[in-house]
Order: sequence, then structure tokens, then C-alpha cells
Amino acid sequence: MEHGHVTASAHTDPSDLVAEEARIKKANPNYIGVFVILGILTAIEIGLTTLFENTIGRVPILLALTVAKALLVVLYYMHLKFDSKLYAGFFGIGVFVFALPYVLSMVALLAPIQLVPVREAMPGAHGGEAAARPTRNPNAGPPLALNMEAGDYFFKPDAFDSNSGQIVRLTINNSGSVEHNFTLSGVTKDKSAEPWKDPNIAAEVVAHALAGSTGKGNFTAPAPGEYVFFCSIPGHAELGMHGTVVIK
Amino acid sequence: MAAVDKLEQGARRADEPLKGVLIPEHVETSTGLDHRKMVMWVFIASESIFFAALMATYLVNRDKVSLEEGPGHLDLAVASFNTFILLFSSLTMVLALQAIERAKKGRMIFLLVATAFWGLVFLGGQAFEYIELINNGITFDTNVWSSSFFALTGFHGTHVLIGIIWIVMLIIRALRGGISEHNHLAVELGGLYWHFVDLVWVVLFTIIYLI
Ligand SMILES: [Cu+2]
Repeated sequence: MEHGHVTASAHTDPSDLVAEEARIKKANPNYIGVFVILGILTAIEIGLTTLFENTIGRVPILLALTVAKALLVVLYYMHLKFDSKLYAGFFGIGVFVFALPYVLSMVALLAPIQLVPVREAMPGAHGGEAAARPTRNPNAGPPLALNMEAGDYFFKPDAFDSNSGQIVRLTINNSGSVEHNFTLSGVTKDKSAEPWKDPNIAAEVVAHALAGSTGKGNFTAPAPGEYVFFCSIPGHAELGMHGTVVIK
Repeated sequence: MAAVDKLEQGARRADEPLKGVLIPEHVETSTGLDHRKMVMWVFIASESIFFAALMATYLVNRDKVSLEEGPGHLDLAVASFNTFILLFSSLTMVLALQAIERAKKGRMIFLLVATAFWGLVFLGGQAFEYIELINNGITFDTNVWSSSFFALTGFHGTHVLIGIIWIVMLIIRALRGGISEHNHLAVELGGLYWHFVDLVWVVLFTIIYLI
């Protein structure tokens, strides 16, 4: 395109520049509205994290919210919704052909994200097969709220009862000087009385708390039997940080 | 980059009416698109791959330490505050571009100053978080988590800093008359970079503080 019609008074106005300005003005996105939506999505994310720390399904929801926020920024603030598809193509190839597949394959290969509970794979946490699924029990009863003190190196109380299939809402208050957690053995006590000694026994870290703080977590009581719970931080269980739960 | 600089200077000269030298901001290209904006998008695509590598490293290492050794000392409140700050700075940035498109240069300069200011506030929040970690004895070489964390957030923070410098340069250029409603591609390119840095933080916030 030529710019032949230059006059003394006018700045240069190539027609494509005019067209671009017209296009952006026509699109005229509501940037403040986009910001408000981004803020609301962020507030939902923070709420999900603080209120439902160990809830199944939280992670996929958070990832979906993050994708939604990223799309809002790219489409509106970076104008990809209104701009040439060629720009979107370059960005799309970078993100969807290289960046995302790389992150997903590294995580899938080296550190599969566990949906529940958070940060299960701490030193001392036990791998192995998942704990036996609780059977449906019509007599499970309403959720059991349980407060427990975790100190150096004890649980108080160190025994409680629950019904198979019952949801246990556990709060541990760490009165000690180091981090503690509540880990539930995946097998009954008669199969392993000291599950912390055997890395092949499945165990679930239900809740953890730093020194002087509180941790929350939920679990569903497994099949009837007597189970051991303990602190999975190396050395703590040996020092007496364990107890039993009788499930009926 | 030298060719781009020459073009930028040419465009700046075009703004001085007395010299009578008129070089259009949009030069003719085979795609009909501005090469500088094209280069910016290719650069952003490569940056996303760079951050993806750092994010993957963090995700792989994040559960390898106990809470006491690092992640337990992170401050969700500070990070949440920083998230809102950076999102807001993206709003002021995009409004700055809108202002110059509508020939409101003073408004654009004010909004650019606001954007740079919120960027500095973000860096302040990040410094606060770093100091908190260091006071708890967690530094870059403490463990795999701390190395991944400081590398990831450190590179992001560096990008924020570069963004602030970029915006300050835009402000100086605008004050010298180098930016007008017909010549504001520089603002758009700086904006793309700034929004990208915001975009990276949107993802970092989730993978570091939420999941
Ligand atoms: Cu313990």
C-alpha cells in the first residue's frame, strides 16, 4: 500500500492503521468488567483453598478457574480475540504444542498430582496401594467432628471410635515444637501393628500442622476393624506418636 | 533488534511536523501485519516455553520436602494481595493503551505511571515473602523445593522488573513527544509484555499457593 496522499497538515494515515483503530474501537471491550470477573474468579480460588483444603475435586476446579483467568487476559487484555489469527497461532503453538505438553508429561512421569489429600508425599509418608475402599454402610451416621491434640510426641486422645463409611472431620492442634501429622494406616492392626515401619503399607496423611498451628482434614472410615493412626514424620511414631481407632 | 530501533526512530521523527519526513508506522509486509508485533508474539511464545520448564521443575519437586522445610512458610495472604495488584496493573496498562488510541496522552501517562507503581508494589510483596522464608532459614540452596521456588518466582520477578523499566521508558518517550494517537505501537508492545507477565503469575499463583 502506498502513502502518496501526504499533505502538509496531516500525519501519516495508512489505511490499514485506520482500519485497525476502527476495529479496536468497534470491539471496545469492557476492560473494567474483565478485571471484575478476574477478581471474582481469584476470590473463588482463594475461598476454595482456605475453606476446602483437603476436598476431592478441588484441584480440577482450581485448574479450570486458572485456565479461565488466563483466557480472559489473553483474549481481552492482549487483544487476541480481536487481532490477527496469526498472532494467536504463534502463541498457541508455543503454549499448546510445547509448553503445556512438556509440563503435563513431566508431572505425569515424575510427580503425578494427588487430588487428595494435599502434600501426601512427605518424607515418611507411605506409598503402596490405596487403602481399602469403605463399604457403603446405611448406619454410618452423620459426620464425626473430632478434635485432637498433636504434641511432642503424642496424640490426645490416642483412641476413638467411628462407624464404617462415616466421614470423620479431623482437626489437629499442634501443641509441640515441630511439625506433626495424622496418618491413618490402610490396613487393620492385626495385619500391621506398627505400619510406620513398613513402607509397603498404604497409609493416608489426613491432616498436618506446623508447630503451634492447626491442621484440618477429612477421611471416610474404612471397613470395620481396629486401625492404627500415627505421625509419619520420621522418628515420631517410634517416640509414641500413634493411637488406634476402632471402626464398627 | 537494530532494524526495529531504526524503524522506531523513523516513527519518532515522523512526529516532528517541521522536518516533513513522514514514515508510516505500519510498513508494508508480506503478511500485512506489523513485523514488530509479530516478533513480540513469537517472543511471548518462547517465553511461555521458558516458564513451562521452570513450572514443571517446581511441580515435580514441590512435594519432596516437609512443610517445615519450605512450603509451610509461604504466605497465601501476601500472594493473594499480589495477585490482585498484578491483575489491577494489567487493567491500568490496557486502559493506558485505550487512552492513547483515543488521543488522551495525559491520561495515558498517568495510567502508565500507575502501572509501574503497582508493579513496584508487587515486587515489594515478593521481597516480603523472600525475607519471611530467609528468616526461617530457607534460601536458594536449602533443598529442591527452595531452589525450584526461588528460580521460578525469581525469574518471574525479574520479568516484572524488566516490565517496569520498559514502562518507565515509554513514559519518558511519551513526555518527549514520541508517542501519539497515530504512533503508539510501542505502548501496545509494552502492554503485551506486561500482560504476559501477569498471565504467568496467574498460573504461578495456582501451582505454588493453591493446589
Ligand atoms: Cu509428629
